[in-house]
Amino acid sequence: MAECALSGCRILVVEDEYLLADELQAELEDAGAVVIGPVGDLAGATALIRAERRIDGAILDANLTGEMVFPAADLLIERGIPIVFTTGYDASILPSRFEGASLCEKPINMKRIIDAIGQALHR
Amino acid sequence: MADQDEFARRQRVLSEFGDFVLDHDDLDDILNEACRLIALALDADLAKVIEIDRDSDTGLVRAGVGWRADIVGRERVSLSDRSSEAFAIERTEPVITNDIMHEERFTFPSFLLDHGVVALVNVPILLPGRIPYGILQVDARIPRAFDQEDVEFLKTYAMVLGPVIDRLKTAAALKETDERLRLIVENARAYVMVVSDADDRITDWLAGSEKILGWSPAEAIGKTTDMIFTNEDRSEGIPARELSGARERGTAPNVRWHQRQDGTPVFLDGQTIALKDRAGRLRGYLKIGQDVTDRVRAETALRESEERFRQFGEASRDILWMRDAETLQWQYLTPAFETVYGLSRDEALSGDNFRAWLDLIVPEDRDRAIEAIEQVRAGSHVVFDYRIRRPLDGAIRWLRNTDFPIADASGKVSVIGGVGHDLTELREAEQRLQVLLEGIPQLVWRAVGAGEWTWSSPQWTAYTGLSSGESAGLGWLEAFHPHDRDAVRRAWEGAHRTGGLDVEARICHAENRDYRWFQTRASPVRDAGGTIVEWLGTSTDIDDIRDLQERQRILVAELQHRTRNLMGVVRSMADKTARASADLPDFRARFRDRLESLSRVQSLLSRLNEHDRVSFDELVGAELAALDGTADRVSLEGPGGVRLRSSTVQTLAMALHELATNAVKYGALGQPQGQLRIRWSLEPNGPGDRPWLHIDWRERGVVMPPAGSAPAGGGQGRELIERALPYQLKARTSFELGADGVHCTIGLPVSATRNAKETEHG
Repeated sequence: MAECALSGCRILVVEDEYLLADELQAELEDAGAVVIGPVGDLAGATALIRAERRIDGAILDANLTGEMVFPAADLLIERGIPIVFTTGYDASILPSRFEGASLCEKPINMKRIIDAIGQALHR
Repeated sequence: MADQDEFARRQRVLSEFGDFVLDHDDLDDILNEACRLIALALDADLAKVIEIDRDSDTGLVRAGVGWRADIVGRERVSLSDRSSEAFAIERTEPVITNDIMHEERFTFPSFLLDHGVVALVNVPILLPGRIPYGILQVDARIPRAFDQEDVEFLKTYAMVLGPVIDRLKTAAALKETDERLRLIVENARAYVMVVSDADDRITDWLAGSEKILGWSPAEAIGKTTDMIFTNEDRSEGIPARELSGARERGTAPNVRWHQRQDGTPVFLDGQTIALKDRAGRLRGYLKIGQDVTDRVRAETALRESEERFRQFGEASRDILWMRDAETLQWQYLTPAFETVYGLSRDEALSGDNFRAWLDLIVPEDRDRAIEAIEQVRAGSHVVFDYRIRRPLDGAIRWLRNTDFPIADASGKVSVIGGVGHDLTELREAEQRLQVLLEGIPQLVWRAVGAGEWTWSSPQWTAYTGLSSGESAGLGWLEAFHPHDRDAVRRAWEGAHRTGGLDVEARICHAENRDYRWFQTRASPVRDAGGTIVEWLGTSTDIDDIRDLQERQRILVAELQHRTRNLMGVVRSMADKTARASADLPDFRARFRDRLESLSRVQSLLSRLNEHDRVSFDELVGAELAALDGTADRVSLEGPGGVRLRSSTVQTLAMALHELATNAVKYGALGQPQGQLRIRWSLEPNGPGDRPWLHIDWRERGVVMPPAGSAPAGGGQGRELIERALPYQLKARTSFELGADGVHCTIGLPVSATRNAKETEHG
């Protein structure tokens, strides 16, 4: 079901850990999505967001080697793009303005994050 | 002359006199009438009654008729041997002088001659018991011969007169006595006066008895006198003992509490008198007593008051004393003096004790004491503190005296009263507390109201540079960080409600103008009614603690972050290993190998303090050490202490591990001819103005597999180097399979710092 749901969707992946980014990419592509990125730093992420005309959803690691991903999240929210955050921290690390966003705590359950992005897209 | 008419006339006179006597009871009236009638009866001009006055041996002309106004009641006759009156009294018989000119026995008073008296008769008047009272005298101005009938008539007349006089005299005396008694009894309102019969039955309830004791005469008469005694006295037989005492000795004192009809006590001061007749027979008792209840009460109260005061004085731990305001000498001094001064009162009171007292006071305080005493002398209340040195042991004691003037009736200060309180222990406790307050590291202060300081400790002044005076009121706010002042003010506003103050705010250090966090706390001091009278507060430096707490919070979050990421990495690594493994034993070997490499890195990282960094030589050393017995095939060339950024260590270590593992399995470390050279260098100003580390991994002497065959080790090492390092570490890498071995280069940014010791604030 989830695979069908993501079919053809363009999903931005922002994750600083190569192995996790690689894995996410593989899973998303298995689910039929087109992965934008992955990208591991904030500057790369914002550049990509500005460059890409169509982004259907985004999976954002909250902490990018000490940099918080929130400026990039703001850009996405401006464009009404649904977001799923991933983080090794508590939910409390998210500023209140992202209260509505989904959150998956690490270590990520791949199936759950695919479900979460699917739900975010169809909300 | 003694004819029938004459006789009848004399009879008439006698009956007329009898009538008069029955109607009158005044002696003088009766005597005057007697004179008038006797003169009439004897046909004489003059008659008189002379009363004997034994004290002066004269006779007073008590009554008379026919005499000049100045005679009756005034004139006296001598009762000497030569007087006819004395003669008659002595003889108790009438004496007749028919013609004075020829009378040789007697001499006569001049007033008789002045009145022209020439003949007279004296008849003695005798009272019952033949007691001479006086003389009835009839005087004639012409010579005449008083005959026997005249004399007999006069004798009869005088005999009638005697009992009449006696009756009247007795009655008059009795009347006077009665009147006096009545007045005494009526006016003796402050006295109980009770007469009882021989059986002690009350017969008379007189004077103030009713007013003082309550019973009316009707209620009291017939009862026994023991009813006025108290129950206790009655049960002890006091009333009977008192009566028997009176019987034996005539009187018995009766000074004791009695009780009234309503049961209230009354103190009577008097005696009980036994009433006996002339024959000594007991007729009854008279009980007389004065109501002195008020006086006794006042005396008792005064005695009790004095006793209480004395006990207070004896028991008091404070010294109570009184001085004569004039001489300043002690008049009164309580035993507490001995305890406090260590000196007996006898010693203290001897000699000029004011001077001696001043000598006990330490010299610095002496003037203050003299000054205070002078003020009391002038009428003021004074409280003053001073120290004395005890002669016994030389110890210093602190005293607080409360002295006051005591004025006499004229308003002049005659006595100085004083209370001396020993403050020594309090002072010592205060001093200890002061030392404690000024010794603790906290900044201590006192405040009233909503944070108005009244005192601050030297520590406060030392830290903030604000003196106690500058900090008073709300002056202390100056030392607080401007951004925190509102919070502190708000905390004070809530303090009264919550009963405590607890606020964290920054306080400026006077010397380096640095703000540090302090926890400021205060507790209220309440009076007995629970009202807050002041606040005691402390400000404690918590800057270091706050710093540590913040760091710890970050570290815990970071650890959590790393652990969760690591789990993801482990899982991903397991996936990749599984995909590349031929079978489960193969997977186990590969996976365990990689996991061990990962844990070596973790242990390197976990050893570090916050500012420490793993150096590249450490990292590569740890990885090669895991490969037993290959050290001689490896050459390492490069500077030590190149500090790796912590975030890069794990990935770089994994890449090195893959390179080393491959070298062992397929490359330089697995073949007899193979050599591995690892060289590295630091480029201080690499791309992005950061220091870069350049690593060169070159294997030589390796027999390579034929071109086109599957990459050994599943290509994971290559993927890490070519993709993961650039992605994750912004590294620049190359990987090529040369003819005699792998050649790999890795360039990556490293930590800008060189030395752990220099990086405390980095």
